[in-house]
Amino acid sequence: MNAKLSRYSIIILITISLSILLPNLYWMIFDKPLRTPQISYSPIIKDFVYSQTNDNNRDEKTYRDNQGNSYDRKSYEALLPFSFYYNLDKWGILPDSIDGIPVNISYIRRNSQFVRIRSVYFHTPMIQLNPLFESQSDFTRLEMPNELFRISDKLEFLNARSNSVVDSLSELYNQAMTEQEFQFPAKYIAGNPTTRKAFDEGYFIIDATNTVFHLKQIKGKPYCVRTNIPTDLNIRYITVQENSRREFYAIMVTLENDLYLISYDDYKLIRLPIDDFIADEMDLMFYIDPIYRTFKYYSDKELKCIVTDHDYNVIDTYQTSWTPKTEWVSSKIAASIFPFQAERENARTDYILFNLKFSGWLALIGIFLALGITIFVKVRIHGENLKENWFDLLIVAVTGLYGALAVLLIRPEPWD
Amino acid sequence: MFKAILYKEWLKIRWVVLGSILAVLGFLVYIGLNVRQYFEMNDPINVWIFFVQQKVLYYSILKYIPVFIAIILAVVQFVPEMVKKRYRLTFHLPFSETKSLFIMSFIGMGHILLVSVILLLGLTIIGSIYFPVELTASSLVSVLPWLLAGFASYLTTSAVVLDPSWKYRVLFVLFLTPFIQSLFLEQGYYEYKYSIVFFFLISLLFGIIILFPGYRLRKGSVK
Repeated sequence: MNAKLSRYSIIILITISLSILLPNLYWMIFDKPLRTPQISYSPIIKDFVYSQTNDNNRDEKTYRDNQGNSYDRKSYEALLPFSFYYNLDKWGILPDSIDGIPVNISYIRRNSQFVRIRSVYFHTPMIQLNPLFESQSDFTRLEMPNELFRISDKLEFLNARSNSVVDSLSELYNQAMTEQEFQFPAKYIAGNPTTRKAFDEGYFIIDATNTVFHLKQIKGKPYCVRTNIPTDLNIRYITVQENSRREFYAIMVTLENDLYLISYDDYKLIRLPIDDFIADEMDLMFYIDPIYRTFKYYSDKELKCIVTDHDYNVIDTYQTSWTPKTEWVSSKIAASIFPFQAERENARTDYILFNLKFSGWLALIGIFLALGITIFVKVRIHGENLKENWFDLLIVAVTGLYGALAVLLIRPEPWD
Repeated sequence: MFKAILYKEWLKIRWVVLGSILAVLGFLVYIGLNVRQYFEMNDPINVWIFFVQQKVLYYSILKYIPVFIAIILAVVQFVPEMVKKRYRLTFHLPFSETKSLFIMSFIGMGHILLVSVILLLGLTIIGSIYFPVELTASSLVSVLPWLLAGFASYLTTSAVVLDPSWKYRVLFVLFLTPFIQSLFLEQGYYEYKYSIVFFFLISLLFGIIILFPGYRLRKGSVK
């Protein structure tokens, strides 16, 4: 009995290993890159334009506008002066003005901004120890302080050289935060803990009562503001953007997948006109140019693009979709061969997973086939008595090909 | 009888036990010196920032150590038993094969547990000297899959060595490694946070895989 159980534990382990190995090998052969169109909004023709790799010749790209006209690369880039201004300038065709707005390279650069929010940002481990920069230093460049801070039941600065809490500094900041009625512990801390930015806006911190606080250091003193951002927003993610345009401090994503800008105008929120955004499944790109705001967000099956004016009023939208991988013929074949596939890594998370992805009804094809083969080999070739090891068949009925390989390779013994 | 088995196992593995403890201590000293050098040569705050933000594991040199020790341990423990099929003598003792195999593998796993505890203690000491408790805690959690892989590879190697046929040995190695390899996918800290429980539960199955090869050995199976 013990040996029998032992054989089954080996068979189950082999089945699990095969559900990792075989789909991996399969996709090594049949996987293809997704070639999605690069959509942009042209301020010249006031319409969407896109470039896409040719399906037939992957070394070539086609350039088209929404009306179906095709372009060569140079005339395509001429439609997008806010993206390709360096090229247009080199060719001497950068327009002097667009829509009455005078245009030159430095003007475009000063009035452009780009923010990306990827789904993987929501699923990545991060230790919350951050540096608090001096945001109004006498010196031009940001400098790394000697401490990192943590916020548990109080705020503590840790000196890296001595690896100990700096009490005086911690006390100063605790006092400033308590004065603003900050309720420890912090639920969320957002900032850019790097000196590679134009200036510093410190951190946005959500306290235990869902109130958003703004904390930074000015001339060595704490600067802590209790913002008026509503506490019932279910904020999930904040990305602070220190951009010299100084339109907004940060972008927020809520659990309901709404997006807001936290503006420099007394932390007033600006709701972005983005519908059907799913933070866990989509990547979002937010382009700001001198005239338009463009939001591009896409999942593994569709892409949406929304263009707005300065005040985030929608001007135009574009939507396209393609066959998702799960609908590919090769996916259907995989589903009928493999009853489930063990997924360990995924582009939308930094965590290692152990997900058994079940294939649905199609798997029955493979399972019946595997059962048939197993019974045939066991009876005709191995000459086994099926009743004696009926559990083998049950394993095959659940795990198909994997189980069949396991029970046929690791054969039952004449048990005691 | 139990004492006799214990003594026999000790005779086989004593040098590996000693050697592996020394090796692990050596690696820990290396990590300690390496971290110390980072702090000497760089601004300490940048070292912290680097390990927090870039998620570089300063102890990644330990990754395959438990597996390496486990495989050697299983080999020195079970290969002598297989020379001239000596282990079959055990079957004449008034002691079940299940019991004796379990005792043998418990002894081996006891040593891997010892190695794991030394590693965790070492990382705790290094962490408490140089790093905030958050980073130290992350190091203790992030090595868990590697330690688990140590136990799994020990039990797999034991089964491989003990099985009387080469066909099964090859099959075991080929088809059990993808699971064990799944424990080495980590790039940064805490990445197994949500899956380590599943990996642990599945790994429990390794606990009894040695009985089947043992049974085949007793029966003289050659399939």
